[in-house]
Amino acid sequence: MTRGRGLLYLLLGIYAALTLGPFLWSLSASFKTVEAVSAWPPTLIPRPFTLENYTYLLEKLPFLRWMFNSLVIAGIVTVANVFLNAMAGYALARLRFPGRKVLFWIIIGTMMIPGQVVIIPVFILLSKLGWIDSYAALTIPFLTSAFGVFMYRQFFLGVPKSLEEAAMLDGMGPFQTFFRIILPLAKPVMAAQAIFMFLGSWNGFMWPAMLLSTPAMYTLPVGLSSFQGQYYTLWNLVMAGTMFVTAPVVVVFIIFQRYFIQGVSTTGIK
Amino acid sequence: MAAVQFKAVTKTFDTTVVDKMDLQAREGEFVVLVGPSGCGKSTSLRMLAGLETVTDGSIHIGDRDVTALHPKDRGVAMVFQDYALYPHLTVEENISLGLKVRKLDPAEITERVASAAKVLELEKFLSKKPGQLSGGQRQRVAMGRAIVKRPEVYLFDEPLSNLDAKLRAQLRIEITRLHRRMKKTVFYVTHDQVEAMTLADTIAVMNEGKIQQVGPPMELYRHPKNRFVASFIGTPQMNFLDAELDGLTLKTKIFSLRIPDGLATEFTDFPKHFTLGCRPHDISRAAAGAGTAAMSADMVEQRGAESFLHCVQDGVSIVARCEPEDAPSPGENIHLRFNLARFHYFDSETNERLVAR
Ligand SMILES: Nc1ncnc2c1ncn2[C@@H]1O[C@H](COP(=O)(O)OP(=O)(O)OP(=O)(O)O)[C@@H](O)[C@H]1O
Ligand SMILES: [Mg+2]
Repeated sequence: MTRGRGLLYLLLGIYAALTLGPFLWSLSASFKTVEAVSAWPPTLIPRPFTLENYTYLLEKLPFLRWMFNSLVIAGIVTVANVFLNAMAGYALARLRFPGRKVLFWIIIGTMMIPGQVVIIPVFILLSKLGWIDSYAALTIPFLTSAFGVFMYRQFFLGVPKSLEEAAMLDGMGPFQTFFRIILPLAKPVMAAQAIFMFLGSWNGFMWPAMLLSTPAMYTLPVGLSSFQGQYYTLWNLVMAGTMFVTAPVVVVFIIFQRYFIQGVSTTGIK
Repeated sequence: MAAVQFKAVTKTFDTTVVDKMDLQAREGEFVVLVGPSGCGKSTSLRMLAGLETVTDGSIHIGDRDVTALHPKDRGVAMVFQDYALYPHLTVEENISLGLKVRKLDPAEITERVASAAKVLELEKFLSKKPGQLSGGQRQRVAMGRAIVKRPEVYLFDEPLSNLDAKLRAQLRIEITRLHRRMKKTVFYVTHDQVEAMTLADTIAVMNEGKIQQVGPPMELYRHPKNRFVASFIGTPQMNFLDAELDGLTLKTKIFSLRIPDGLATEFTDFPKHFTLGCRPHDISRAAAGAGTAAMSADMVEQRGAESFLHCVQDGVSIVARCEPEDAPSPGENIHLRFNLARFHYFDSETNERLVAR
């Protein structure tokens, strides 16, 4: 028992070191001067300690603007996914309408298509719509996700029907039933999707890099990549920028982790 | 005028599960629908609630034809087998939500919730969530949710079947008391005939989608209309024996009895062969003699106040009641006397009752 525990802690410790290590190195690098970053052997405590990297980013580059762009885009995508996926999932789980099986399999089918395959058609479509270099291109195509719909549908299939019948006898229509009874039960799923969707959008690089050309429209990851030089990279600046990318993610996770862990450890209602 | 009326109600899914059901309840009557699993009880109740459409026929509450009405407009409240409490709301919110949705005056809501909580002894739990309550307490909350609506008709679908025996007995009494107080029409579905007998003003026995017999509990017990009702009502089950008439002698495989002259007229139109029914309570141990059946005791079922003997002879099995102190040991040879005055007779082909008493 205690030996098992010891082994467990050892493994967890190794894993924690592997994940935390790079983060701590980045954090420390973001407070180092450019000479100290490339000094050998590397040190964890920045000496000399400097805030210049941050002030440079904030004063010389539109970093706050990029952060704002990222927040708006990720925010819209997250909220839309959490609610729209839920509504679609509920409809597929409970409402009877012609073609619902076919629709469900089409939605599942889209998950089987590799993302790379659709890059060019989607790009052409967006350019025909005149959406290149706009927020619309980065939000509207991403408002729902097939996997999100599927996740909600599976959850709603497990909710007892009698709850909805009780709501019906209580005088609630379909929308009231959904928002007052059904959706609150799905809180763990909502939290999990909020985290996934926010992370996905916030860290997203490929689409914004392809679709944006005006520097003021950049999202954080695109902006960050723009000052990775062709011949050399100022790692201290990049790492300071990385901290801007990481901090909101940590905040989101801390807010939602209670629900998130609940969502991972329990599947149904009880 | 009937408070609730099913008129030739039929429900067909893939097959017909409720077949031309006619049933009515008087104002304030406690009607129990009872029958084996899958006989269509829940479906009937759900049609009355409006949770299931009616394939054919019509349902009336008071003088309104509610067949096509939305559940919320029917003036009914339902208690579900799994309680169907909203898990994320407190007891108080669970009870009051239906009233809030109907936009009742908040003062009125508070008053109704308080009075229901008092009647059901839920005051201590009002701020708890359903997950923190025991089964019996959840059941009470479900009843509270129904009561506050002040419905015309209460619907219960096996509300006690998830509870242990002791709690079930206790809640049966509470429901009876509640009904006496509310004086509202109740439709109650169960497959438990003890529950049916103890709760009902009127029992409707169903089998395979058809109503078999409707009547007060004791009438069904004393005068079952067919073999199905006879076997369904009363525990242990009624014993059935193949019998024939030879003049005025009633013959079965295990005993023969002379029919007293006074009763002879009842048997004038009998077919030669028929089925005889006799309840365990109408059979007793006796000394060997004319008219008794010699049997071998197979097993004794002790119930405390009384015992039931399971006996066999010539491939015939009989269950008889006896006093616990009279119980034989297994394998012992004993004699049983059958009380002819309490016999039931059924047609062997149609299973219908032969003497209309
Ligand atoms: N939605 C449905 N679709 C198809 N068949 C159904 C549906 N609901 C019920 N049935 C069938 O109708 C029959 C009667 O069901 P019902 O639920 O009324 O039985 P019940 O008498 O309440 O039985 P139990 O005591 O098991 O609850 C069953 O054979 C059942 O399979
Ligand atoms: Mg049922």
